[in-house]
This record gives sequence, C-alpha cells and structure tokens, in this order.
Amino acid sequence: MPCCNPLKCASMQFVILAAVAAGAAGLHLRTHNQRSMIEASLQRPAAVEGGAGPAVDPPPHSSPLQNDGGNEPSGAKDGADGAPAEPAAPGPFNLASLGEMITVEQALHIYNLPYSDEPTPPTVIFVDAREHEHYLKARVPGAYHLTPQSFVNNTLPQDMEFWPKDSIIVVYCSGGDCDASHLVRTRLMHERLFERVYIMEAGLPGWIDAQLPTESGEAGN
Amino acid sequence: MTSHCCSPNAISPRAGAVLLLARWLMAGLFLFSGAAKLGWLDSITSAGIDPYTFAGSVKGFRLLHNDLIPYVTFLVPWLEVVSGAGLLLGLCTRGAARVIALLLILFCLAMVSVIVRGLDVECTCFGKFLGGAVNGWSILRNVVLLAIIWPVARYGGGMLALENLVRAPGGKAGNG
Repeated sequence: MPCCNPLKCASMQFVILAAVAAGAAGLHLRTHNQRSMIEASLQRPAAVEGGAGPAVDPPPHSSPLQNDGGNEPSGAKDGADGAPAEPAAPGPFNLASLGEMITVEQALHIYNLPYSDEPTPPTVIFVDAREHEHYLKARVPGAYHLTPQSFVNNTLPQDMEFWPKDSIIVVYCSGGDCDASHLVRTRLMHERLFERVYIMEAGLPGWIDAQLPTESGEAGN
Repeated sequence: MTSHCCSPNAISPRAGAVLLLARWLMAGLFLFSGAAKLGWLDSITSAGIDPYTFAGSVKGFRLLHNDLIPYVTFLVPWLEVVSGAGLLLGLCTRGAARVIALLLILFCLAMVSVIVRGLDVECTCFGKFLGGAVNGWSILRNVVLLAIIWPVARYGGGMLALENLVRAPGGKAGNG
C-alpha cells in the first residue's frame, strides 16, 4: 500500500531530513571559507609512526639558547619589519626553500635569526600548540601558548595584533601524529594572514632530544 | 491497525513511554555529538572540538579521498543535529531514527575497518566526550545505541511526539 501521507512515511522523512542536513552542511561549508581551511588543515604528511622525530645534534655555532641572551619571556624576538629571510648560521640553511614541515635543526636556525649579524633581522615567534598544563611544564624558551581552541574561545595572546605579518612563526606540539600545530598553522595563515608559518615536525620532544633548553611556568602572554 | 507505511502498529502506553525515553536519550546524545563536532560547544564545555579536528579524525580513518572530507566533516554533524532535533520534537521521528541508525551502521563498519587494518585513530564520535582510540568498545557502544534507536525507527516516537498531532487523511492520530 502506498503512503497516504508523505510526511508520515519513514522513507520520505529520511529523504527530507537528509536533504535538510545536506543543505545546511553546504551552506556551512561555504561560509567563512571553511572548505579551503579544512583542505589546508588536511595538507599534511601521513602520520609519523613512533612519535617524535629523530634527534639532531646540537648546532656547532654558539646559540643564544645556550646563554641568557635568547630567553625573552615575551616570546617574540623583534627585529626590523620586512627583513629578508637570510640564513643566520653556517650550513646549508635557506629559509625560502623550507616547506611546511621543518626539522628541529631548522627551527633552531630560525630561533637564532634575530641574533644574527643581519642589519634587519626578522621577527621570530615560536608557538606552543599543546595543552596549557604541558606548556607550563616545558616549552621552547619564549614560546607563546596558542591552541586551536584559543581561536574559538578568543583567548589569543594580547599582543598578537602587533605581530608583524611577515614574522617567521614556528608552531609545534607533541610531535608525531599531533594535529594541534597543523590546526594552529591553518588558522594563523588563513584567519590572521601570516605568510611564513612552519611546523616543527618533531615537536617539543624533538627539541628536548636535541638537548636544547626549555623553560617552564607562566609566561608573560 | 493502520498501514505499514504511514504509521506503525498501535502500541501500549507503557511502550509509548519507553519509546519516548529512547527517543529523548538518542536526541540528546546526537544533538550533543553534532554540536560538538561543529564547534558550537567550545565556549560551553571542554568536550567540544572544532571542524578541523573532526576533519583530521575523518582523515585518520583513511577511507575517504581528501576532496570528500570537507563535505563529510559538515554533513555528518548536520545529519546528527537535524535528526536529533527531529527525535527531540517527535517530528519525522521514524525517518530521523533511520538516519541515525544508518550513521551508526556506517560508523561501525568504519571502526571495524580501522581495527582490521591496525590503524590508531582517535574517536571524536562525541567530541572529546567518550573519546579515546577506536577499539572494540567503540563498536559495542554503537551496537548498543543501534539497539536503542531501532524500536523508534520501527514503531515511531511514542508519547509526546508532535507528529501524533498530525492526522493522516482519513486516518487516525498516532500513538501517545
């Protein structure tokens, strides 16, 4: 027997609900450039098996991390705006050739750029995308705390609006298959229009494995 | 007794109450689940995630092409929200229950696939609520939910369903 009332027919209801949901999803997807943001967040290599990446040897040159010079609590190591991205340390390091993912050694080179002899060193910002409790325990000296939730809850660092758009930003989380740094990078690039945002693939575990110093406790952001 | 399509068999008041409980339980669960995946709960509870996290989780199942993931990322939670609202109000109840049953079956199949392939995938099924890696318990949970929703899909919303106020032409109002 055919349905006497389409609205009481389960199959028809199924189709109607699916159509409503598909329409809503389509509208949602179109708003705020959601599709491209999701695609950008997915443009990451496959999960790295075994957690943190390989450790790297400590750099041969004298790093500000090995003295008090580089441990600014503010996190941002200010240089002049618009500085060209030039290597700051010996070795085959070329910022322009970097991809989305960088090694701990490359991150260290970037960390040291503000302390190079360049006349107009760039602004370098490190961002810790892990949970707050982990951030408090250990982080790259001077790193800001910025998680994907920070963008939703609007708990962004107070001085973020003063970060130069050409800053070099290095985001990290726990390494391995950790998504937070990718999500933060996507938000920084698509919502905040920063152009040079990299992910330290090995995360903080890689930084620690390389015997580089960390700091702990509350920061000034 | 009415037709098999337009309305289910007549049910007792006690069965109607059971259906109401099942309907509201699943409505709450899936409204929460959908809202959590769409990032609507971020400012209310820590159980919420944002669509990007959910998209990453969908990708982790390695079942869909990347081009499809943005659509699935929004279609699944919207299906959950729309169906959950239908269950809550008692509108299009059997259709909503069938949508949820279909989702649960698909989730189960995806989870079985993940386990068989030995993948380590974080389940963002209900945001961060009931999170953790996909495992046998995740499948069992979905089977239990399927058992709860199935009577609603079969018999309708029971008591206090708004659709019972709508009389079929030449028929009588539904149960409850």
